Amino acid sequence: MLSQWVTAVLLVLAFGLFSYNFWKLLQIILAGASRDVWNAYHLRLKAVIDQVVLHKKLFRQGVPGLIHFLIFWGFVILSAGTLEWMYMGLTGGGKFDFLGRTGYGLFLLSQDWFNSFVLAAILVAFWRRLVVKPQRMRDNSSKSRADAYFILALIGGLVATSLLCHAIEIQNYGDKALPSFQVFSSLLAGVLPELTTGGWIYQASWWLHLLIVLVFLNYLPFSKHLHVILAFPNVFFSKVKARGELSTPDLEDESIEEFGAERVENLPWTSLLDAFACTECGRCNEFCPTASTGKALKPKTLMIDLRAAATRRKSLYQQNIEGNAALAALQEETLVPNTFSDQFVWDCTTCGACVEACPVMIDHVDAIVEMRRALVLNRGSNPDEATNVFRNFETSSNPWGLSEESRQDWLVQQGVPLFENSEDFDYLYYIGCAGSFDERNRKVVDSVIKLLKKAEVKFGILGKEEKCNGETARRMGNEWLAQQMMQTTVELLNGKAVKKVITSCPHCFNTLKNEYPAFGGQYEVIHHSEVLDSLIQEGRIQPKKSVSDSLTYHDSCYIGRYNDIYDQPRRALQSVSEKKLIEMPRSRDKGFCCGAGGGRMWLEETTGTRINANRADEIIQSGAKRVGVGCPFCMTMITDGLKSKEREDIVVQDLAEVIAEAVD
Amino acid sequence: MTLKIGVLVKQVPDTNSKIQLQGDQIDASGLKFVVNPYDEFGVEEALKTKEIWEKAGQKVETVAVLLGPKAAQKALRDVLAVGLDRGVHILDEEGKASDPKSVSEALKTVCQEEGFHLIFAGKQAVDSDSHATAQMLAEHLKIPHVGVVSKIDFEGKEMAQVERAVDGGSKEIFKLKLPALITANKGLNKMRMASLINIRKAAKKEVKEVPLPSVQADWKVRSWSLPSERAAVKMIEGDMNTQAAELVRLLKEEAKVIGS
Repeated sequence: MLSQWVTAVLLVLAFGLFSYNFWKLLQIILAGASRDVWNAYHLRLKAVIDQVVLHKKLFRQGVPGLIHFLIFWGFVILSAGTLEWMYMGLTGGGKFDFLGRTGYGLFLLSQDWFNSFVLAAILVAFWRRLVVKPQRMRDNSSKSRADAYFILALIGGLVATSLLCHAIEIQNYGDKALPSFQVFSSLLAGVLPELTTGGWIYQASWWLHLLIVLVFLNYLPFSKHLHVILAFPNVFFSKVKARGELSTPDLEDESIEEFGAERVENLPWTSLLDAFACTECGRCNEFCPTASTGKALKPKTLMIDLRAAATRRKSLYQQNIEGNAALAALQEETLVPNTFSDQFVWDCTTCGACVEACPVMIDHVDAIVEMRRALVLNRGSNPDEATNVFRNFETSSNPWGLSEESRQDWLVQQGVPLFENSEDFDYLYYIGCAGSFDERNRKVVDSVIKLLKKAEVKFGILGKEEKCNGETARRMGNEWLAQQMMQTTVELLNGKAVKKVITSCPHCFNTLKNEYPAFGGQYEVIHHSEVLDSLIQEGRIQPKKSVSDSLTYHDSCYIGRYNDIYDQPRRALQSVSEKKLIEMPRSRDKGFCCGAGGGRMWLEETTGTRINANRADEIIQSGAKRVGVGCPFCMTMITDGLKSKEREDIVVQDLAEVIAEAVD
Repeated sequence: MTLKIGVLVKQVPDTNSKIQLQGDQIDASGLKFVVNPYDEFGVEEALKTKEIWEKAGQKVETVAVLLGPKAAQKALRDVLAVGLDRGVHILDEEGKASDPKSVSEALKTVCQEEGFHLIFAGKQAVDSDSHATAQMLAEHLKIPHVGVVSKIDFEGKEMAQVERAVDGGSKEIFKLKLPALITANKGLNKMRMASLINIRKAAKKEVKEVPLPSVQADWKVRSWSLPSERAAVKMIEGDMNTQAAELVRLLKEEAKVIGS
């Protein structure tokens, strides 16, 4: 009877304490700006099934994925065992045997198997941390590492005590304990000396198991293992609209006096939830181009520091004493520079490798853009090079500040038709600034046009009427300029009743496709790699010869990770290549950014090693003689990267050029 | 007491836009107008100076002064959006102040009224390129001035050490006592971005419109003409000797740049 009372009191205390701490945590998270998440339930549910139930992202890396899958499902199934444990404590020995012999047998079987799996997985996890030491774990702080060992030890303790207790029960109760359903516990019972359920070993193990459960529960709110609770809601509340669509603040609203995320609480609460759901696993850093080249920005640090800042801010706010100097100082504190440096915020290429890698669906990029917005819109504080490029967009609607009059004049002189209305044309070929002004990328446009003509596609261009679509300004935080540019292009395109758009630049592609609908521009947007692939498939482009050089393909982030276009460019390239396309280790959804995204194309890269040089090394190691790209900025960055490695013998070509060469 | 910093601002056609004529007058309809790029350096320097002095506990007000037609007021709003505190617009709808002398006289009236402790201007306006207005203004105001400055260090609020590049990569360094006028060259700084918040605030900032004082212009541009089209390039064919002979003949007979 006493033990029943002790169990009850322990449970009430443990759950009470947990609820209190968790409530405090929720308040910190919900202090963030509002965000409507009560929509698109089917998509949210799908995300939960994919990421929580099936662990899709975790399985990007096989062994660690499998270990986590076992621990996770073990955890879920063993939680049922934990309930039985509590029931046993409260009833003085009751079991779930009311499930019937078969039912309870299966229950015991599940517990027995998963206790064993989890024990094995825990041992492998220790081995990885102590022996293998993958880079992303070596990067962890000592606190983070201690946290991991402590939690692993707790889980290990849980399953070990459970196995031991079940084994002793088998020794004592024989067939009544259903040993035939408990293979591993039976084995253990066989090798152990005879013990009794009344003996101190059983009793100590039983209480230890319960205590570990309660300690674990109360340790969670202070540990990175909070993800056990928050991963599920974080996945459920993660972004359901296109990853490439940034939020659209109302800049006309005169009541708003600060834009973007000037302070922690300006970030949407979902970003703060992100910060608390972060498990510090480091997969983001592993794939991040800036973290991989020794720059200030590390996506994991973003989350850890955000969490610390939010916690500190909330705890001081709760003191809320009039005239409190610390509080006043705190109110003045801003995310930049108090939590993050300018460099940190401007480093990001918005490539989305971190977002793609994160098993709990954290969105680092949107949070960074919100901070850039605060810097640009509220303070006019941005790198000097950014000022230049904003200027150029303003005066000439292209990043170089070249005369708008000369946009696409060489094509108009060649007689490429101007898109006047949708009756005469099936497609608008929206060339973009790089294709219009950059010498090298003009050649890509020539190839695309040649192929479109060959396939008798009815298309027109905008000539000097074309404007920059605002993508870069938007990702550089200049939302005001970006919205004007976006509206201008939407008006232009709608005025011509454009329905289908071909783009050559993945950045144009993403913005036209994913961001224009919010501005009233609904178009079917197609990247030239998709067009060329389908024209080849349909036989409208027939390659006459094939490329004998070994070829590899460099994924552009904005068609790849942002829009899942991986196969089309590869298939198109493969169709003109004699040899099988070489895949680099970092390809497809793990593709490594060239370093130009997020406006980085226009900013100096002065810290760490160069991102494009890092990628160039990988290209060189692949042994390919040619690299196919599908983006004008990748073209520039990869070419420069190879040049810096004195490997100009490796040819960088847009896939359109490779195909055009084979068609001649 | 509040110290006032004046910034002279002119609206000019964007040098990127193509000048077109209607008869012998400039057709302004196709032109894009911007703040004179050299004046931007003056704007930024005024803001920086204000920051430095205010950190030292001195209250500072920055005032943009512009002369031009009503439509030119946009340039004034633009620099207010960058952060200057208020503007004075000397209205000259008909372009009566047509030369540096008359403009500087008009500016003098306003500057005297305002009592600027320091005046910044661009080293020149990129439309008429006179290089004269700010210098004349300093003479009218009888204050020291240094032009084409690329570095400024203040010693307190009364002295400034300024630097300007002269031929051959050497530098001239001046010390001047305030009140003074400084014209800015490229390299002095880079004007900051107008943040959206400041653009909004700018719409509410004070712009005082004053009539053009009676000034006497000595000259006015009466007519404009575009440079004649460049003739097409002529390629000379043949071997080295023929080419040389032909080149000499052409230079003599067609271009008439060498004598016979």
